[in-house]
Amino acid sequence: MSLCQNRLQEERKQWRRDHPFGFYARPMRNPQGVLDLKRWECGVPGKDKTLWEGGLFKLEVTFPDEYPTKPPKCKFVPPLFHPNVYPSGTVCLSILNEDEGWKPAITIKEILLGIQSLLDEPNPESPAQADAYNLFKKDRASYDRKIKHIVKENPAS
Amino acid sequence: MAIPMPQSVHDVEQLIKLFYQPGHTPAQVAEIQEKLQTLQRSNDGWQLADTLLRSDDQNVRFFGALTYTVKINQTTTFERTDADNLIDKLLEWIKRQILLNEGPLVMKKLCSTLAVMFLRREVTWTEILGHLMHSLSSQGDDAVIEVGTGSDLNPMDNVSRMSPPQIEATLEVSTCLSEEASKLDRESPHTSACYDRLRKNLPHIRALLLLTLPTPAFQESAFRCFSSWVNFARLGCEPSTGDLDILRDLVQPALQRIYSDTTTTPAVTAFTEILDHFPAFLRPEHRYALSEVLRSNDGRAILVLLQEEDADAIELSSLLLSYGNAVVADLVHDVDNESTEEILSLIHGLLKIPGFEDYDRLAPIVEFWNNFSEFAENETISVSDAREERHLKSIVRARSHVQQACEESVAKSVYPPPEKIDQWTDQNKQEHRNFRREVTDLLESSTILVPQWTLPRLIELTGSAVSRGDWANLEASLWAVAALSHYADLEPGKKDEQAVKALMESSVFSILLKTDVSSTTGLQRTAVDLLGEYTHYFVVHPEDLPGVLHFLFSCLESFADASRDAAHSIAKLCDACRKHLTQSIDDLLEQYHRLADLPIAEDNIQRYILQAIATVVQATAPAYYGLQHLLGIVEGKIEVARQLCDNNKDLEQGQNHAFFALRCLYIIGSSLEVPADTPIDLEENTIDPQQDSWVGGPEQRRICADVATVVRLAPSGDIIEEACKVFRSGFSEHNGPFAFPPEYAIDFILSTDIRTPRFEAVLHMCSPLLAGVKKLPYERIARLLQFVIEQMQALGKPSEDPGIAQRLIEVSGRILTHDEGALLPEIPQELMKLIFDFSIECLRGPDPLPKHAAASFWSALLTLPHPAIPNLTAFFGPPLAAALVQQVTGAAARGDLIALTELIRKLVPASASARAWFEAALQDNGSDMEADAKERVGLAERRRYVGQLFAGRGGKVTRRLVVEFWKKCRGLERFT
Repeated sequence: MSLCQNRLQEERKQWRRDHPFGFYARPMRNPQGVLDLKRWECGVPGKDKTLWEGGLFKLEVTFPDEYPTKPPKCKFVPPLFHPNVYPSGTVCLSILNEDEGWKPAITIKEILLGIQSLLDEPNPESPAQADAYNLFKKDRASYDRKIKHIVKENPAS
Repeated sequence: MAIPMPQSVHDVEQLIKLFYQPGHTPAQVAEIQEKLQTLQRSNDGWQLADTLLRSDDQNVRFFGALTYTVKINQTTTFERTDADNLIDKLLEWIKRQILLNEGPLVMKKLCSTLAVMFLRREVTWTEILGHLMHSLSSQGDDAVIEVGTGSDLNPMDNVSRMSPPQIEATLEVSTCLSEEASKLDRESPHTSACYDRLRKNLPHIRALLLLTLPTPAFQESAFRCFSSWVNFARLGCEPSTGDLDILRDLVQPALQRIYSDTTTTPAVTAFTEILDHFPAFLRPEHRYALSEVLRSNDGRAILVLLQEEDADAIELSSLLLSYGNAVVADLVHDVDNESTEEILSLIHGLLKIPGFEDYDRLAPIVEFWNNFSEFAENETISVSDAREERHLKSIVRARSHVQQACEESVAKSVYPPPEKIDQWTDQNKQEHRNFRREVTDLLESSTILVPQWTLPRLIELTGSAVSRGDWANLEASLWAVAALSHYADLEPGKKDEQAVKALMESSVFSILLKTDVSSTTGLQRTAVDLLGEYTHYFVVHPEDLPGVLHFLFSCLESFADASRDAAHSIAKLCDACRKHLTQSIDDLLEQYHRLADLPIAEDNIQRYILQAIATVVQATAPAYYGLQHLLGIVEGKIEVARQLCDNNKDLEQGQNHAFFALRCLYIIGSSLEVPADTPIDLEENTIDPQQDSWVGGPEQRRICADVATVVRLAPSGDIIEEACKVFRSGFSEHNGPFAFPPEYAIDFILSTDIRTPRFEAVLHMCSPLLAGVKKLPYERIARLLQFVIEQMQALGKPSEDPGIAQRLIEVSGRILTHDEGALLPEIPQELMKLIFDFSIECLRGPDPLPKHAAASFWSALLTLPHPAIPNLTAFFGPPLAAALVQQVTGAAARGDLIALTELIRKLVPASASARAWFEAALQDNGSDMEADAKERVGLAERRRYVGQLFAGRGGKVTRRLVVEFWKKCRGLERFT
């Protein structure tokens, strides 16, 4: 089995043994129904006591063949209104960037917790979509209103 | 009141005592802590530690031990003799502490401090535990024997000389040693030396644990020590050496303690950890012994004890699962093996315990069956001819276990009675959801392992639940059927298809509307979700649609907790089956009007129903009739908004209504789009002759008038954005009521300016408009460009509103590159200069998005195949290069570099003079480089950089060069 597959098996075991409350992460099945360890569907809940509380946001995490040397790609499906999420849904986060903060030791749990923190703490240095970024910078009240609406549209229960 | 700095040992002791007293405010705690930490870190810290350790007060002594840790961590390097002396001293304190015979607080701290000290790089001797045991057991005085001694004695002799408190201290230090060693950075050479030293102590660990594991008084610490050393061995021992076998000698005595007279927990926890993290540590004979332990009478008793949520039984169930997961391959392969069957039967039993509803504990059981099923699934793919018969036998057996586990899991996922659910916390709800998610995984896996079994069986279960009147079980089986919708093989004649058809045509749904079943938790909600998940079934069985829609509308109206999901399922069904519902428009409209006035019809529900109707209208030819009604609904809402806004009667409510009216209009517009998967009919004569009449027709004028009315009523940012969405909904359409002539959108754009709220949303509409299906006349594009330039002038600097600046640049780029730059020769030079200057200002500014937009603007322009481009490049190349240099020499943020690199890659080959532009921009004089950056990267290095950049000719190497140069200029890294 390749390094990538081995590591993903191990990640899966670790996740099953211990994962943060309200999150989920599991490999997807391909159209033939066979498990594809390199594509995971995950859910990240909004943090308590933030605007995002009560929401659950779905992500697809795709692992390259070179994983864990290279980071996985995390994509909100459907794309999420957030300053650090590209219009395609791809998350812009330093720990997911090969040239920045990615380290092979980073686990799926750490990635998803990082994304959860990013929800309520956008990084204005790295905007990825103009709509959310501009509203966040210019009109916080409207931004907050929109987030509340998004949370309502993506309820955890 | 401020706390003074202690002036004497007595003061310090008092302050420590104060620190451990309850009732301080966080500020007071922080203040005391800061004073004490200052003392700990001071030069007198070592002396203070010794003084405090002599105190009669336990808290003070603990602080003394803590001070040792702080000082050790603070000291970068020790002289070797100092390190040895320090170890002696700590041993001396441990011996004293043993004599005090008190609780573990101070002892644990001293032991962990000693362990940290043993692992320091200055300490090189290997006989750590021998020395420790020898020192602790030497009688007579406080003096500690010479370092490194103790090795000449047999480990068993060393252990047998110690008293119980000395043994307890040795266990504590041993555990800390392995725990600390496991935390070391494995890449460091120091770690490898440390591991070497620790491995030499394995015989002593074996001797210590052979004595302590069977002794009840030591059980807790002995098992903790055992599992931490096995964990260390996983990291620090080569499997090929005999090191692991030294620890393996302990497995049998440890196993005998699983059902000891006292608590089982330490032994069970230790073996669970070993199975989870290092299953290879256990030899086949160990695994068999463990299996015997689990299958014993004591092991079987957990199935009874779990009903009472017995803590030991819960731990034992974890051990059983960890064992199952560790030997899953054997459990799948070992056919005709009684012990394997017994283990699997025990795990089945865990899911069948009545009243055991701790879903957090139940989820791992389903996870095990998932693991088992996936393993068996992989086996079905890789059949080996040599052992085919045995293999097939094992698959048949595995299927039967998975089928049983599926039924047990679904039964366990039933909601408890409402009175119990009322007491659920959010955590309980989440745990139940997670449990169901695990069950979904297992059901999915079973569809691969046992094709065409799962869905028919689940549907069979719904039938038997109905016949028993067991509504909670009905809910669970319907939920499971819904969860498998994507795996249903609905090809006619297949078992799945026949079962689904039987369900959809059964009386189940009509029964759900009866009052005696209405109070079952989630039942109607699950049922309506299920119908929304099986749209692909109704596409081929439209005869079942009327009954299903009736059921959904009834649920929407009668069950508040299901109404939103019912509306959503209606929208999904109408979308998928639109062609079959064209005769039902009147019915749907009637349902909408009937529901719209009910309190249950919140915005989302209305939206879903309008969306449902609009998708059906889309499939109707002609669509006029349905559209008129839909627009009538929207206009009714606008009228309510107008009345509320009139004379400021209730402005806020009015604005909300106005916004919702526009939102509905947008939903209608987007639902009227032709579905992407509609086949294109190439025979012209089949095109509806009426379709073209939409363009500029009365309906389109009516829609635009509606938009204008709402914008006039409440010109807020949200409304402007929603209005833009209405226009955009038809951009990709050739025909249709919302496929307006481009003039409509342009007129709307021209009616706004930079003072319009959410103006960037208006500008953002221009790009898809220009890229739309209809070619814009030249004059209209020119007018748009003029508008954009006017707004640039009105804005002044990009930093005034970076969001607008970004969109202005994007639209300019779109227009200039439109139709391969057809407009370029027509644009007066002064206007051109204005746009380009504005873009360069964006490039130089601090705001990331205008900067990225400007970089893309230039990247697109420089590669445009148009005769005007070389002249433009010659004119604007120098300031562009200067702006890029200013950015990559440090002004840009890390996240800007990708966009800037792309532009550099385009500019480098764009002109023969490009190299000269870059070199000029990097000169000492007249350069925009920061002084710091100039200092960090000398002129020669800058020239070398330009040389490398141009040698790369704008290739992929540019990215690495730009990042390295940027880092060097920022002082983050050397440029090589």
